[in-house]
Amino acid sequence: MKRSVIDRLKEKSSLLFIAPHLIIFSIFFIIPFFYGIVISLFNWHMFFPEMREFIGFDNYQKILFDTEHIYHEYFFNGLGNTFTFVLISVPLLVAFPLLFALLINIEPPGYKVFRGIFYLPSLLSISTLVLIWRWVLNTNVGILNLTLSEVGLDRIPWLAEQPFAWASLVTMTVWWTIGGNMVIFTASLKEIPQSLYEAAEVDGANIFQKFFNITIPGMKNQLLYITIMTTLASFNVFGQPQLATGGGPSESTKVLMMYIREIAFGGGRPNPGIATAMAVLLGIIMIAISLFQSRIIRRLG
Amino acid sequence: MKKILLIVLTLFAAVGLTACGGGGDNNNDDDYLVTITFWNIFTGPDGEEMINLVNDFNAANEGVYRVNTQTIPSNDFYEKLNTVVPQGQGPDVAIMHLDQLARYAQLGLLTSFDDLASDLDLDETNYIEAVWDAGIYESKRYAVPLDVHPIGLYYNQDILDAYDVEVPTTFDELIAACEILNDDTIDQWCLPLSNVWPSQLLFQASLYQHGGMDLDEDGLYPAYNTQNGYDALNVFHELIFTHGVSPVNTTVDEDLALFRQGKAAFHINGIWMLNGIIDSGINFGTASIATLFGDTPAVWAGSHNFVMPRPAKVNEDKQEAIVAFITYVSENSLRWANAGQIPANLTVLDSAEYQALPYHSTFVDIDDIMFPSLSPYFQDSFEPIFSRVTDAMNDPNADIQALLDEAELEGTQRLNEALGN
Repeated sequence: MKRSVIDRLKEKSSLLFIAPHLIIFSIFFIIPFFYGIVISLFNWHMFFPEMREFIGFDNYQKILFDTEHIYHEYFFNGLGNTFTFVLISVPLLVAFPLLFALLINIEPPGYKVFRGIFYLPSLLSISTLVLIWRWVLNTNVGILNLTLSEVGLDRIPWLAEQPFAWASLVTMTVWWTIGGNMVIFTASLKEIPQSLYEAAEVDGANIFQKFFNITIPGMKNQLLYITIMTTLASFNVFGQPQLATGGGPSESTKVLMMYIREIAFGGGRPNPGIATAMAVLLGIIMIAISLFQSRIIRRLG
Repeated sequence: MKKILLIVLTLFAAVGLTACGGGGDNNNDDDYLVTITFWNIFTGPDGEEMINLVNDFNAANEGVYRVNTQTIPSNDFYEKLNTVVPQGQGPDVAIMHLDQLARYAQLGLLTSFDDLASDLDLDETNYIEAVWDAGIYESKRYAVPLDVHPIGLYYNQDILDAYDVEVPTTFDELIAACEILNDDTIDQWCLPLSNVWPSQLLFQASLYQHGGMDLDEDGLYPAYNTQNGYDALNVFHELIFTHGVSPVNTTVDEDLALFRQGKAAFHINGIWMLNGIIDSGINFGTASIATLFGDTPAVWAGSHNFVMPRPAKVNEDKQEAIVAFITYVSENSLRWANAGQIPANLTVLDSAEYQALPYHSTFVDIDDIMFPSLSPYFQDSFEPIFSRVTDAMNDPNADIQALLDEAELEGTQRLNEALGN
C-alpha cells in the first residue's frame, strides 16, 4: 500500500517535536560529556590551544597511582569525604521522607498544611539554605548555641569541628530535600490497594508486619528510583560544604566536587585535563554503585 | 497539527533571528566614539565610588570615549578571566590584585603597557615606589597601580578610655591590654580573630614581622616552614587559646560584627573596611600593626592594579581610551581614598586634602608596607598555608609544627606540578 504524503510528513514532524529538547540536551549534555572525556586524555592547556598535547591515560595514572603526586592526594581526600557524606546522608534522605510520607498518609487533621510546610525548603536555593543554617549554627551568635548556653550547656562549634560539621551538613541537606522524595512516597502510598491492608488486618498482622510485607514491596519501584537518584545527588554534593564549611575543618569536608571545580577553573593553576579525569572517575564510580543498588533492591523485591 | 507545526517553526525562526541580532552592535550615531569595557572587582562601598568615577569620566569625554563597567565579585573574577581571555572575549581593561600579576603576565594573558602605541602619560616618580615596581614582570610593565590596601588595627576609643588603656604597639603591650580589656561580665572581647578570612593576611604580616619569608629568594619554594614561621603562626594559636583574647571558632565577619557592635576593643582588618566601620557609628581610631606580632616592622598590603587582558586584535583607538581612563582615575584617586583605600599616587598622598583625612595617615606608615613575593608561583607555594592557619586558630590541640610541615609539603608538590617536574 502506498503511503500518502501526509503520513510521511507526519512521521517527519515527530522530529520537530523532539528537536528543542534534543538540541538543548546535546549542547548541555551530550557534547560536554564526550568533550570532557576527550579533555581528560590531554595535557589541556587552558589558554593556548597549540600547547595542548595528547597524553593518553597519564592523567588517570597520576590521579590513581602516583602516590607522590598532589592530585593523587586531592582525589582520594575528596573522594573519601564524598563517600562519607553519601554514607551518612543517603539512608537519612530516604528514611525521613518515607517516615513523613507515612505520617501524612494517615491524613491527620491539617496534614495538607504540614505537607506544604515540609515541601517548602525544597524551593530554596542552595545559597539561601546555607545562609539560614549558618545563622542557626554559628558558634558564637547562632540561635542553636545561644539556646544551648541559655540552658547551661557548652557551645558547640557546629561548623568548625568534627563530627559536628558532618552532622550539620547532613542535617541541612535532609531539611532541604525532604519535600521532593516525600511527594513521590506519598503518591506511591496511595497506589497500594487498601484491600491488601484490610486482608492483612483480618489475618491479624501488626503495623510493622503490614509495613514490611505490604508497603515496602508495594513501592519497590519508587524506592529504587529514590535511592538511586538520592545517591547520585549526594555524590554530586558541592554547595553545602562549599558555602557552609568551606571544606573545613582541616579539609575534612572538602568533597571531590570542590577539588574538581578548583582544579578546573580555580585561581591557582587551572588543569582541565586532571579535573575532567577526576570527574570521569567519579562518574564511573557513580554508575557502578547505582547498578549495584538496583540489583540489590530488585533481589529484595 | 498544522497549527502546532506553524508555531514550532515560528519559534525557531524567532530564536534564529535574535541570535543573529546580537552580532552587530555598531552605533551609527557616534562613528568616532571609542567604547571600552572595564571589569572591576569592587563589590563593597568602594564599588559605588568606582562607578561614580567611571560615570564622571564618561561625562567628561562625551562623544569621544565611553567606558562600560561591570562589577564582578573577586572570587568569580579570576575564573571568568581564565575562560574568556583565551577566547579573545576579555574586557579591554580590568582590575587585578598585585599577587596575581606575575602569574597572569607569565601565562601570557596580559598586554604589556610597554607595547602601547601611545605612551602612557604617567610619571613613575609620582607613585609609591614599591607598588610601581610590582607592576613589572621580566622587565616589562603589565600593571598600573591604583591603590595600596594594607591591614591595620581599629580600636574602640570609648572602651580604651573607660579602662585607661593605651593603643598597643607590641605583642607584650597587646597581651597586657587584653588582660584588662577582656571582660566576661559584660560580654566584651579584646581582639576577636576570625579563623578564616582575613587570618591568612594576619599570618603573612606576622611572618614578615618575625623576619620570615613566604617564598625562597627565587620566588619558588615555600620558605615559611622555619622557626620564624613557627613563631609567626604560634602567635595566633596562643592569642586565642592561652590568652583568650578572642572567642573560639570565630568565622569571617563575626570579628567585624563584634567590633561594630562595640563588644570588642580591637579589630584587625583591611583599610577597605573603613567605611563599614564608620557606618557603625562607634567612636574609633586606627593604628599601625607594624610591630604587633614581631620585632621587624612590616605590614601586609595588597594593591589593586589596572591591567589590559590580551585582546583578540590590537586596537589602537581602544588603547588610547584605556590610557585616558587610567590617567583620569589615578589623578582623581583622592576620591578613591574616601572610598576606603590608600591611593598609589604620591601627589594625591601628599595633598593637604589627603593628609586631613581622619583615619588614613595613622593606619600605616607607607615605609612599613610589605607585599607578598612577586612570583608567578606565589599561589602554588603559599596558598596551602591558609587552611592551616585556620586549623591553628581553631583547634586547641593543634600541632603547629605538623601544620607547617603539611603546608610545606603540599606547596612543594603543587609547585613541582606547576613547574612541570
